[in-house]
Amino acid sequence: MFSAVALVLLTGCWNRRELNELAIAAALGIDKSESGLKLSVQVINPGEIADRKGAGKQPPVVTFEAEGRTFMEALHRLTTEMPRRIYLAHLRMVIIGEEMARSGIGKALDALSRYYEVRTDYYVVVARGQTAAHILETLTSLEKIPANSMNTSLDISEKAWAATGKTTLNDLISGIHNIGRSAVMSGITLDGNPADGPEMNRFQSTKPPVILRYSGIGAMKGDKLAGWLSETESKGFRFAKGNLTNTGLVVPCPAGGYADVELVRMNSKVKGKVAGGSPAGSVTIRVEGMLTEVSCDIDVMKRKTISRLEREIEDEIEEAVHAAVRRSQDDLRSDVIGFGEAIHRANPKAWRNLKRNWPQAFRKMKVDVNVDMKIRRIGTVNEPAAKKTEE
Amino acid sequence: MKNGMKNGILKSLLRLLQNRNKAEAPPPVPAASPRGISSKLAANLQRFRAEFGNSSDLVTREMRFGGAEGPRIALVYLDGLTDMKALMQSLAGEAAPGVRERKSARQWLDHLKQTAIAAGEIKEAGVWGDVVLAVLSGETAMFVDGCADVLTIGTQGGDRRNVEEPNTQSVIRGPREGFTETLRTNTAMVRRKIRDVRVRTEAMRIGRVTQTDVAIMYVQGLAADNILAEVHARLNRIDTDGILESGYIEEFIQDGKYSPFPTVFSTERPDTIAAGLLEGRVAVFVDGTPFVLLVPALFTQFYQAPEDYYQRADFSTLLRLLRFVCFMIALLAPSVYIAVTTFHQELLPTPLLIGLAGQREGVPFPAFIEAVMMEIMFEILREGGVRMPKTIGQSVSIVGTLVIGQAAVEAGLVSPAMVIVVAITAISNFVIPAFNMAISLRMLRFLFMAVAASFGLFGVVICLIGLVLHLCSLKSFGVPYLAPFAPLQLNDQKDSLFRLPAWMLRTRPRSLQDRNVYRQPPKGKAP
Amino acid sequence: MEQAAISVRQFAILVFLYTVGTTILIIPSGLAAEAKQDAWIASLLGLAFNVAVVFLYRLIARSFRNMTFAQYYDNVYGKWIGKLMTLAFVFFSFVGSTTVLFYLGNFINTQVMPETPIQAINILFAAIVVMGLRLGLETLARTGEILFPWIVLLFLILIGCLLPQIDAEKLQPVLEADPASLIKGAVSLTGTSALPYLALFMLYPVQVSDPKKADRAMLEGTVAGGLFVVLITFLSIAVLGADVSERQMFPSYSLAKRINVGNFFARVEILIAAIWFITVYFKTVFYFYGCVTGIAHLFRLRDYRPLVLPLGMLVVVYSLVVYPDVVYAAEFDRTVWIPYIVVVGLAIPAVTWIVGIIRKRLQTPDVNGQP
Repeated sequence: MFSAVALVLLTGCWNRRELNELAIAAALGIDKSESGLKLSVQVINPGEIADRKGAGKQPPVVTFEAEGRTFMEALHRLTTEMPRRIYLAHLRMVIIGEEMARSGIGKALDALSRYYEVRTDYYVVVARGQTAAHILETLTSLEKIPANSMNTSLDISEKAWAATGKTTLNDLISGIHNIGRSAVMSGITLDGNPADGPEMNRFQSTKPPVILRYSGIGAMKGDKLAGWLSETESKGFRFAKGNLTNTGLVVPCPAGGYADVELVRMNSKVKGKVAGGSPAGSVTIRVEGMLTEVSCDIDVMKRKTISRLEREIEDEIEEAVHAAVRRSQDDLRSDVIGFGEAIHRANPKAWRNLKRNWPQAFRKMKVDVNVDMKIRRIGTVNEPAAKKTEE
Repeated sequence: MKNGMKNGILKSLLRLLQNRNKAEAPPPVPAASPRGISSKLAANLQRFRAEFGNSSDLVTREMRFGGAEGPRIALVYLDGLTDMKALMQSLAGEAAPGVRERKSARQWLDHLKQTAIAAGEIKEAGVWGDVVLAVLSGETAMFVDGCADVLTIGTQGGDRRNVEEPNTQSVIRGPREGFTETLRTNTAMVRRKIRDVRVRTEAMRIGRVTQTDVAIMYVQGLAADNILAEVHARLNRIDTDGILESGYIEEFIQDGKYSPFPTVFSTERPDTIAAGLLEGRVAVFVDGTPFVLLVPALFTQFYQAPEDYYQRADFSTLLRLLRFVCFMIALLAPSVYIAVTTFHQELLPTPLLIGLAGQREGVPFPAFIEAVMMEIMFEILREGGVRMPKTIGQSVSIVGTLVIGQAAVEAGLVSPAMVIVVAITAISNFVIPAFNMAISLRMLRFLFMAVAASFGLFGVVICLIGLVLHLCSLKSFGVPYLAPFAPLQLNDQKDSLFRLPAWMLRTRPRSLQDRNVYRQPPKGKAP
Repeated sequence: MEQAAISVRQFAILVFLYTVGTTILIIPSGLAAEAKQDAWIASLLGLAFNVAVVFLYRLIARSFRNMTFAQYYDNVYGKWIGKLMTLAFVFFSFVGSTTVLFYLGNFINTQVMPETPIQAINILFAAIVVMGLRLGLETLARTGEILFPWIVLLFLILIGCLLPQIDAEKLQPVLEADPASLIKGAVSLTGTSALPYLALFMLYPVQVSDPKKADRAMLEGTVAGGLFVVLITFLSIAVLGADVSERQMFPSYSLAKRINVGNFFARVEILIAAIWFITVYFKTVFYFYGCVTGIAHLFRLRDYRPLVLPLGMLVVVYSLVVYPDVVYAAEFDRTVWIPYIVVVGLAIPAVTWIVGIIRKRLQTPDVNGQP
């Protein structure tokens, strides 16, 4: 028995991989190619990031590309050009080229959910009007690893800007399987000449010539990208889905100029019902906010002014949600807000019939939007700076 | 079965050894000599000198007691083992007038025994072997010419270490005295703490050649009978030529002979022994060492410091929890580090992974070899430092820090993270109060590292289950080793991992005995 | 037979560990496949079934307070048929321990270390199973006692970290699944958790210090273990959603991957793996205990210990061939296992019990009005 144990111990390094044998992949890009798909990997150069002294000579990340008929084939082909084994457990981002997204991503995603090494805590975004490879090749400032930069930026902008949204692999897969609620993905795009992206010395300037920027939310239909929501529609969509904080809202003042309100708390409910055989949906949104900027001449100390502002905002949000709903019904034909699921929850029996031709039923569905806005606080001053002095 | 066999082998080995000894030197007590004692003084002294081979430290002093009419007497003692001052004083000078009338040697002997000699302990011996043994133990044999009985006088003395602060198990608050090498001093120190007639001390001699004094101490009524019987039985079973330290006894009487874990507790501190006795444990004193054994010894005991009871309860509890954490670190840190960095990199937060990977760039060895190398290097340093005089020991550690901490990292032989892991492991190991428990962790750590290197965390968990199994199978003198936890004794939890305030510790550990459990009057009853 | 009394408390813990066993990792997926978002209701129903099984077992166990199940067989059926039945029992526990071992190796090969040969994993695991059995029941019971708080602690951490991620919408609509699929799911739960208690009959009630209280302990262990499984299933559905749970081989492991508290307490799925290693350990040990004590009984050995090592090797070998692949295992579990376990775990003991009662009546005519 002892010799058996010794044998096991002595020969046992099957799964061992030393840290310096790993190519830690921070981001994956998937593009369409003639043979199937093109995989680009953003690999972290740990020596460059961890070493405090000699840093700055090499780029913090390196990008590799390979093509293959399947995801795994491309991944394995990558080994022909890298000295290390690709390690996927620390993926921060998966970027899908728009072309690829439009033609269907289900096949590529299967490997990501099946392969034991990959976790599910990264975000999936679409390279809007770009190839994923270009996005991955772009270096970022402030944050050395572009994938981290994208990841955190999405985290923050999702809350503060509202026109973007995080999507994880599980969300996507649920969306593909669930006809009553399609998935969405944020779009990422590149400002500037893509060829400048990989250059290190562009950081000599305080204003990098190429930057990555999130733009809009892409709606999926099944595993295909159906189209993009505009900024307003994206915001509407996110309002309908709830869970926003710190988002700013701009409202026009009655006498010209704008006021800005920051969201403090919000709560939204998507409901569905079936009345007389035809489905109907409703979105109820309750918002609490705080006045953060007044660039017009109003008297914020008056209850009336505030309630007018509130009404303005309610209209604004209502408008945005309606826009999102209309777009998803008419143009995208994809139930991104999840009315189908809402009906499923409310009336499972009716849903069983409805499910079969939900895309048609969804297009004709009526949606009510109710918004209730409350401004609780007006900030640290009570008079706008732009107030005209009375003479 | 196994024990019996082992003892058998030991015995035959011993016999072999003894046979060899016989060829070189005569055995201490020749079996052929008669048991009785001659009434002739000269013959006795002659015999003594012959048996001791004219040893230079054997003093045979002949004198006449009580002036010219008094009997001829002789003192036999070993120089250096004895303190003869008081005895000599009481023997010197003329005997009182009434005394001189005595005629027979026997009467003189009685007089000497009852009146003349100023010494605490005087015994009469009629068997030759006893006398020799008494002399060997530092007593003085007094022969009176014409009498076949001998007085043995307790003159043990000579140069001995004073009571000092113990080097091991030092405390910030608490008594500073530590045991010495003298058995009697040691038992006295405990007696001084527990003034109760129920404190029993039983003496025995173990070691055919060394004839070492061993004393068992317990509190009658608190120590469980079965434990006491077991201690007696195991001590009686020891048959060896020499006991030079309590460590010998420990190895003979411990349970789980192949276990790396100690099942006998040893301490230099009288307060720890006193506390143990009050809990119903049994102490074993061995002459010639300041380390006193305490049984049964349970796992938790090795993680408790005497100071726990002298500091505030909340603080002590936190310290105990800290020690438990240190136990985990000391046992697991290198193996978990190996497992995580070579098998489960997905478990590390990304920034940490990048940092570690950056540090490892250019390190030539796999993490396992790196860890083993560093651990061994550390063990060498520690061992090197321990045996050195304090001043040199320090320079060893300085060289060590420089070699490991700086040069090795800068030469790219090891990664800085590994140095941190090894260092925290080593320091955690020092936190464990009992040295013998700390050693067992040091050994087990390597096993864990080896398994982690081929099976990752799965191997570590499996090893941990195995370790718990092993610990659960251990017993110390019939008491399960993990006693207050498995089998669970809710009542004993008050003083195991936690230490509740003294006024809440109403009971003695029930795991040890359940007859006299109350230390304080039970709740609701007036004292 | 050794008479190592297990305390009542220890027995409750062992039953708990045995119930949780393999169930916690495998069952949520099957339940989600059957009952979708109502999987947790199915698991509650399964818990009710478990309790029913325990009541039946208690009833049966009452007729052999002072003997093992194998001795009871001899008692009821006579020497020859009794031995045959014991052989069947031995076969059952042997297959049980090999399948559990297979699951363990399979899990590690799938999720953690795909390149490590399953042989090595199973050998290592079997080594501590053998070690535990050689050290005896008493040691095992104490080990359970030591590890139990850790399991509870890890479990509480798991639950605590996942509570914020519960999404009530994922549970709705409640009770959409039809009763048939609920029952099907519940039976599969009972089939993997409560019916294998049969193997425990070799130590219950005879080895438990207080047989009367042991009945209660068994119930407590079952309910606690059942609730554990219910909670895990509930969390799988409420956090991952029914469709994702269904897709996963090991939903509870994916569940643990979801833990993320403030971006630093994350990636701790090894916690649930640790829970699982421990519970699977006890499940394997007691299946195996049933096997070796059964064989010891067949050959009239006073001590089962000499059998442990050779049979342990056999279990390792057999665990490698018991299922040719994962798909076969899954199919076997869906189709064959449930009828099999119902026959072996439910029908045979019940029949034996009835036969036992009838024989008793026949042998000692009911003169005094006493059974």
